Amino acid sequence: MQLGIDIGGTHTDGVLLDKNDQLINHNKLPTDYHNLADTILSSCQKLTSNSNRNNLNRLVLSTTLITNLIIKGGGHSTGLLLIPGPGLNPAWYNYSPYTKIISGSIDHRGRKVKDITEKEVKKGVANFIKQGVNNIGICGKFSTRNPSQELKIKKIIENNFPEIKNITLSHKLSGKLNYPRRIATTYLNTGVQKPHNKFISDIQTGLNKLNLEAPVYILKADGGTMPLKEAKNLPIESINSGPAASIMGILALTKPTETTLGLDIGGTTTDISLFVGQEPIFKPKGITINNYKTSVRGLYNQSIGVGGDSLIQIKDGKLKIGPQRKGSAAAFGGPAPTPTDALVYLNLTNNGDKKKATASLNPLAKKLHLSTSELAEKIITKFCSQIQTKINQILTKLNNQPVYTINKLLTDNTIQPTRLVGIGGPAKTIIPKLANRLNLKYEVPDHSAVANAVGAALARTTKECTLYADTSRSYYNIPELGIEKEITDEFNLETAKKIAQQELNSNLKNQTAEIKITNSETFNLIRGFKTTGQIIKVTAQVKPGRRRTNAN
Amino acid sequence: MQIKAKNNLGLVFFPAFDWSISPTHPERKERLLYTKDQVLEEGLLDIEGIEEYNPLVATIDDVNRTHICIPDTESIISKPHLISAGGAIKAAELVMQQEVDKAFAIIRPPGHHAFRIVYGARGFCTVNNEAIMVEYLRQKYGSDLKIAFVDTDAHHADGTQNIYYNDPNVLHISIHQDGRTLFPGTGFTDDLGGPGAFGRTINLPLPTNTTDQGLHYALDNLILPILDDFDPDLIINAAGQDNHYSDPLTQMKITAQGYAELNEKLDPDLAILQGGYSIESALPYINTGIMLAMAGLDYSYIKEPDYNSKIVKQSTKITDIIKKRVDKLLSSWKKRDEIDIQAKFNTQDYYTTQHNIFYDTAQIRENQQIKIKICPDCSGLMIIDSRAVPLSIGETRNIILPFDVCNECRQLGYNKYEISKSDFNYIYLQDKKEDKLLTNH
Repeated sequence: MQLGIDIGGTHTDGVLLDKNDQLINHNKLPTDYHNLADTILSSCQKLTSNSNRNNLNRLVLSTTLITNLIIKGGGHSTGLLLIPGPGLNPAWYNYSPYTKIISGSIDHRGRKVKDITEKEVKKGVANFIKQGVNNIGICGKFSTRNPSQELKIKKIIENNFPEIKNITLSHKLSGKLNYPRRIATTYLNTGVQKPHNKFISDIQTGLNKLNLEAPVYILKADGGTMPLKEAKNLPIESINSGPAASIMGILALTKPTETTLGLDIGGTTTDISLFVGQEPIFKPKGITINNYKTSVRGLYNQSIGVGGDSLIQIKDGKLKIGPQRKGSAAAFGGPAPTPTDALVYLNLTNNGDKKKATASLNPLAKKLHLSTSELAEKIITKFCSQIQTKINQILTKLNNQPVYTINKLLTDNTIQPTRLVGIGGPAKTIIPKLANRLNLKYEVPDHSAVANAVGAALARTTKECTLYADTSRSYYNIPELGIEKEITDEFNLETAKKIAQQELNSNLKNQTAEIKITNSETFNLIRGFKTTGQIIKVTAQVKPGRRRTNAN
Repeated sequence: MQIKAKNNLGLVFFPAFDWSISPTHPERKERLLYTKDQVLEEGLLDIEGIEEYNPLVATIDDVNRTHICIPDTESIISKPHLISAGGAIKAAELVMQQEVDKAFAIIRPPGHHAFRIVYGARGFCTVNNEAIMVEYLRQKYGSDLKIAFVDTDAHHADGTQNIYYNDPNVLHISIHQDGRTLFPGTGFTDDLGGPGAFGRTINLPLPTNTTDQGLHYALDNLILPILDDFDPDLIINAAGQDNHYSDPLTQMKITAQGYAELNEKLDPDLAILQGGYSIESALPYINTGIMLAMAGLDYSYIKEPDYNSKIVKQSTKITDIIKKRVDKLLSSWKKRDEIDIQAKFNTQDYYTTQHNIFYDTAQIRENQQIKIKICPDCSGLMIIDSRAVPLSIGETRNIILPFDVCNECRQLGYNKYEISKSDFNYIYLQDKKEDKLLTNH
């Protein structure tokens, strides 16, 4: 059995699934922001009974804690030690008011160009401490190619400033090249570490009280889970887990097999996602949160400001839906007309007070010289067309992503969805209409109200690592796993793939993981018309998906 | 990092990682690898106002509008060439459609050694990307567009010069390492353009070991004043990067700062990558510098790992040579329209010249006789008789009708085409105005 709990903005949804992934029990509780741990624990308590708690295999939490901390700027002060070397103006890295530029540099092949000086580091850290800052992030340009300077600085701090307990190294957070994103990610990760650790220990204490011993996982932005222990060092990975849970919910409830558009029609927004085959696609660069562009890998998701509770107004003689929300629909006691009221008026949904819906729509109908039913139809059509426009924009953008090889430029990899699936309140009525407009097959699954929690419960552990090998410099490294090793000239792409898979596998321990090589490149190094070595780049990944039964 | 570009910059960044002239050739798969790594790590593509685009694939018609490929375009051109040219076209369209303020096409292979007539590759170039781009623009947006090329590659831009030698609406400025010391061995101050466009070809050969000082002296005292006079609609920097002090194929001493500052001052609408084979020590830094400069952002922190401030110091001997050449060119520029063309070219009907062209990449030798009609009403009909060895094609005749062709030259051109059919197995007529290429086979 497994538990999935999704902590949303207003409600916390929980589900209990049996060993065949069938829903046994579910509940909805108001979210208590000041005490998230309590909300989670009471959800657990209500879903399980003393008798079945022992049969639990795992508990997966999708939490908005870190997202909210970042949005409210509520993390702790973080000092940044940056080793930018030459390049962009270092003043542009203005993430933290406590920033010290350390001289030193690494080049694009991971060669040390200039050493760091211990004195500079000590002075910078002492200054941070004087200002009351004792959380530190260390970020070097090209540290993913050669992390030695970040590691050296960490050692200097540990040896000289034992009071500093919280240090984040940028190369551990992402193996990808993008220094500003790594700085942003390091900065945010360091700042939220302490409140996140408190949250984790509260949960552990609470679960112990409930005698709940099953392993606990946190849902990440990439739609996969991470064990609680790992989450301690990587709180930043849990941002955007709300949309990730929704996408994994769609995946769990509908099992897409072809290119599929996913829609989560909520109260304020409609979230659009995409599945190619059985896999949700990723954001190309990383997640942006509160204007911070990060290197956190996340599932592709675009929001549009129209939902069931969006405000309907007339502006310049034209119907306007959203992006404002004034409250719930008039049919449910809200203050203003909404798309939900149009559905209620047209008898397309069983719930809601039709009189109230009619009363809210009538004045608008008069203004536009339409009958109320004409207006209601018009609202639904407009609602669908706004979503359709957004979908078309998304597809155009995705289908024009830059490529770097002739082969890819000339191969037609156009993403063309053939199927539409939808969850959320108005999905049952809206999805068929939208599917008709888009000429797609469609599906609206059962239990769509608790899709997020089901998605969390069934998500498997994901992990990515990038191997970079340079045979003429006789080394390879995998920054995220902290691995650096010497190699000989015989090292080749096949060996690199094997090593990346093995290392990722042993890092995941007890998961019988399906590791895929998602990117592999190799370049001959030619110097003076002779091949002097190879540069090999490999990315290995456990992609998000449904956990296999009987595995973690 | 919340940085916004002052100028919206479009990047057509296409390193063609799966293509090379041959595995160990300088123009190889690895060439832009380190540039890509540097650009990604710096986070340049996250800067607001810098956007990345895929190249278009140019068509055979795009090529035929600019070149005459012998025996035919299909047998000489392959997809990588069409993509490189299409990258330049895409960059230009972004600017013309005002989607961006400026665009930089980082494409390969380069183009500036490709002449109007093409038998194969020379100087790593098969077709002239920037000329294909310009001819595309003139066809689409009007042939009265005034274009200025500033080619800063270390090698003389002999191909682009050849294509625009007699074109009054295109100013072609090439600054390069002195042809007496480097391929292709041309580009001296006396080449000033044909009778239909006299003075609109400008070549400044720079002595070996010229530094940023010499380059910027030429820029400030020659190139910028001439551009001011000419007042072009578009400025194109054919941005070769092989003047760099670490380049293995040349003997110049320009730095990444020197290149970036050049792009800041020149303020080009378009930059198109040419050569540059110091792929690790120069290209990543120069390209980053050019991007920042074009975007109107601070580039002063860019520095090569082995940079040393002594590099920019230049001997007074070099400075003096450059000054003398700049003065000479400036005075001929000022007098360009006072020249009596018939007297200058010593003819009343056709200006005839002979050229030997060596295709170093394809190992072909071509002999051309170029005849340009001295015409009071247009820039003049052009007839090129060409023979290439070791090819077995024999002598070919190529008739070119310029965009501004007058009725008389046009009639004459078509007559010649018909008459010559009996004398030549391969005869071509390129009609710029009608946008067509005729051939007898």
